[in-house]
Amino acid sequence: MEQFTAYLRSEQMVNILQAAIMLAVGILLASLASRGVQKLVIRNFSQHHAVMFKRLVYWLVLALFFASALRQLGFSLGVLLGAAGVLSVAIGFASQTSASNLISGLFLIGERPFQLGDVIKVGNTTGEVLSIDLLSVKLRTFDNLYVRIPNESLIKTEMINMTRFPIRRFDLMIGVAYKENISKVRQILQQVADKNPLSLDEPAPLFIFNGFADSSLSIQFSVWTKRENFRDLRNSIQEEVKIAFDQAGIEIPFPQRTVVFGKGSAPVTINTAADTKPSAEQKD
Amino acid sequence: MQPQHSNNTTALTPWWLPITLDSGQSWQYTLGPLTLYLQRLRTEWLLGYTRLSEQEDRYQVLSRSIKQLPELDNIQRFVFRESPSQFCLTPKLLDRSVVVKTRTQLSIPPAQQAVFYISSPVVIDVSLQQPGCSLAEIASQRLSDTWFGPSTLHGELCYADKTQARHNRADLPARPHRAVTAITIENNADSMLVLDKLSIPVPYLALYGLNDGMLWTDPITLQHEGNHALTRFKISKHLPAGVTAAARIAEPRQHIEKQGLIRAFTGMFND
Repeated sequence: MEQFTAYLRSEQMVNILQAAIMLAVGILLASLASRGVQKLVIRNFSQHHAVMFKRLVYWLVLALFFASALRQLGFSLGVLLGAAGVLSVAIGFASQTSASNLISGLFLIGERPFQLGDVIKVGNTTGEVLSIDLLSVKLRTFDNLYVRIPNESLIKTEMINMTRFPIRRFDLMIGVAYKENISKVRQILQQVADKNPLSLDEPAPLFIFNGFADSSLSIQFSVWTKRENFRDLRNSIQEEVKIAFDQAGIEIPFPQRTVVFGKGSAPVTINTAADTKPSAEQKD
Repeated sequence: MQPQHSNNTTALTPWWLPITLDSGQSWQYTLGPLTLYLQRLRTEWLLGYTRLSEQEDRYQVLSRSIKQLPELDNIQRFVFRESPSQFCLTPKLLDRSVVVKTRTQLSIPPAQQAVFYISSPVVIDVSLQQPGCSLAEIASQRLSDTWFGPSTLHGELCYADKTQARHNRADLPARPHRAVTAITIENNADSMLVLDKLSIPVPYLALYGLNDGMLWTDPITLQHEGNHALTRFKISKHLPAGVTAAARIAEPRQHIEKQGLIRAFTGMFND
């Protein structure tokens, strides 16, 4: 018992206590400081930068306090750092993927191809950016799945930021029958776009006659809209075009095939069911 | 009871004065293309509206008591401990600039200036009084969106409308749901200023309601200097004749930044 109290009073125990208090204070201070910095930065910078600064300040303050706590415990920092240098080579080889992700993450943060809240498309995944971290980017897809994309693959592959610019264009690909008057079709499409309040007046809708396809005249009609309204426009304008075409009697053809037999071949005879006599096998 | 006006009469009445309803009473208010329906119950207010989508101009103001609300799919309920007795419709200008296309191309020679009267539809703020409480903002006319700027990267979202760009104040039709802006355009450049489109920065303007039922905004002056894509924009201190500061019914939504430079004309510049 005496030994235990003596141990408690010993310098070592006091040091451990001091180190623990230092670490606790460090965590508290780091979280306070990082929140303060975030509030300060968000006024002048984007949310993306604010989060980055917040994390930076948090880890920096924490690292300082951690280092002091270690010193309090009697570790010599110089030796520790030297050991860390040797260790980092070994770890570097062992954790190549993580290191590559880390460096890609730094590049991503520097390049800023997207921000928090943007909607991006990587491969077949489309979703809203939840966080941009050193190793990966987290997305929330529209069917509410959480997707983690390693930074390395983001750097390597093509990525589409769908919400970078305030307006977007919807391309309506449509075919009309060969008998239709193109200028009338154009006029009807223009009227549909004019009447739709979601379609922008300027840049004006674009009408492109793409050419003579197999069974239709192929047309591209491109309408601009505010990016938030993109899905609504896509739905409404296709519906309205169909209604307008039906009203004007304009045909949207199915693929058709005309079968021509050569001159030499005999004409095809068509028998109705009543004419066909049951064969001998069927009789039995 | 408010006076009634049939279609196409030019005499309007101010429609932004409060109206008192008894519990259980319903009211219809038609302002141009928009018809509002309100009903006061003991503990709630019901609000619904219909809007004509046709572009035709309607000049009608109709304010009357009705037996019951029609079947509408956009009825909203506002519940109170005890419903306030008065409602008030207040006009407000739109929250984005309005880009008006002139029906014919307009040219202003160098060193000339011209005044145009261009109207834009207002948003109607439906509020209750005692205690004051804003229920909804309803646009009197649904305008199409448009992009105003030199490219698809640079510019701003605006509302699109068409204008006759009337030069003479006497020609202005009396429309209850549109506020008129007197725009003075000065061409200080050496070349002809050709306009087919003009952006009216309505969020920066205050709104005035006159006793004859007309709505006016602060008059503005646009100075075209020639070599800049942006145009110097000033809100004139002199209100148009007949408009007094006492008639001010709505404050501007925004205050001017960038030393009064705005993008007012396009089609001529590419920066």
